[in-house]
Amino acid sequence: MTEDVLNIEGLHKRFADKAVLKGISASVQRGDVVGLLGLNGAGKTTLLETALGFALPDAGSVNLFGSDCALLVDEKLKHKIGFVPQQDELLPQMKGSEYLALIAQFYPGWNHALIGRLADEWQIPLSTIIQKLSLGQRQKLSILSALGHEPELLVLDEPVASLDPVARRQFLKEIVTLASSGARTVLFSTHIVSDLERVASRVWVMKDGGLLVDDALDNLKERTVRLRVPADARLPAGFQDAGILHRRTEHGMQVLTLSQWSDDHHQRLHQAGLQPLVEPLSLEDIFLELHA
Amino acid sequence: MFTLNPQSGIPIYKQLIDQVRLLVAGGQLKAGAELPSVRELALTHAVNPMTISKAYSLLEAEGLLERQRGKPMTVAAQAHSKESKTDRLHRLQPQAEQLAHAAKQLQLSTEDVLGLVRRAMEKDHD
Repeated sequence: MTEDVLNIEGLHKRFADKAVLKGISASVQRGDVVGLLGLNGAGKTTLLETALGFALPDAGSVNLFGSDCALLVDEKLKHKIGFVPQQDELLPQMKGSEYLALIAQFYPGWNHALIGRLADEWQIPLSTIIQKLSLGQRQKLSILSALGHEPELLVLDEPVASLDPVARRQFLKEIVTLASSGARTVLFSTHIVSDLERVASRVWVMKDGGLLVDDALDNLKERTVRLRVPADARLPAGFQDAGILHRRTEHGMQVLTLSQWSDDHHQRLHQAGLQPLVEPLSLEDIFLELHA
Repeated sequence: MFTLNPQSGIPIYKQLIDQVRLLVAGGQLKAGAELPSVRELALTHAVNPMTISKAYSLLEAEGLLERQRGKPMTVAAQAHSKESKTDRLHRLQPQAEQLAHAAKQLQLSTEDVLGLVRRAMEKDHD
């Protein structure tokens, strides 16, 4: 069941004098939908590209489908992976239909029916020259070109940045369909936290070249809370293990943001005679707290 | 059938578990009633199917739901008896505590709050 599709170990990457990846280790298991968050410049794109072998790490290793050879040289591996780069690599002089036909030639198992249906549903004008398409239309086409060979691992770098809410929802439903089989794996970066909150089973948060969070979305939400107790309340000894991220005073209340909250902590507060107000946090709030 | 809010701090699987429990406890979902498939719910709400199947599995483990091969998830036969009033009231304990807490902060009297609750109940009836 728990088969690693991607495993990265101690990944370091630097560009000129800037360290972009500072020792990242993580793995993605079959069936996971991993959402990658991080501020601009946190290293998301570099992580995705290095993980797929488009860039070589300065140190550390990448293992894809149990093989440590770089993607660029392994045809078989290439067929198992679909990649949507942040900046599309469409050929501007071609019509959308011509471009898709060109890509399909590389893959014997290309699912023409699927791509035809999605092009229709997503309303992509396939008979228009690509350079005349809007940014959103190009993005949709770019996603389609990575779906046709039905890759086992789909990696997308900010796939919805230019999409309108309707198109974003259509895209999310396609991710849900992929995930429903349990056999396909998705790794995508985004700034749209509410999208990630819907479809991701797992969350990675990058900060300054490191992986700050690598957890199941449900766990992350269950253990990250905001707590309010009276300003003069004394927390029980050893309460630091609740992972105090921030502490401030607001209108006579102590407000604490905790990253390791559990029922056990709740009980300990009760035993200390405190009746805390516990506020669960949305992923957006969690992200903001992690960067406060 | 369900109201799922992915942007809430409460994980989706927990929201679903709470709502199924409430619907069964309140008698709106009776023994033998069929639940939507994992895929259907996941697609309707555009949420990860794993979070739905996690909720169903946990409800199955606690005996509230039953799964038969190749058939939809159903409300278990044992779940038919409506919960006792005490148990149903107990479910509202957390919300009651929260309401009481907020009312105290706003320096409202018990009567004022009870009046508010009564009006809210009546409104929901309409």
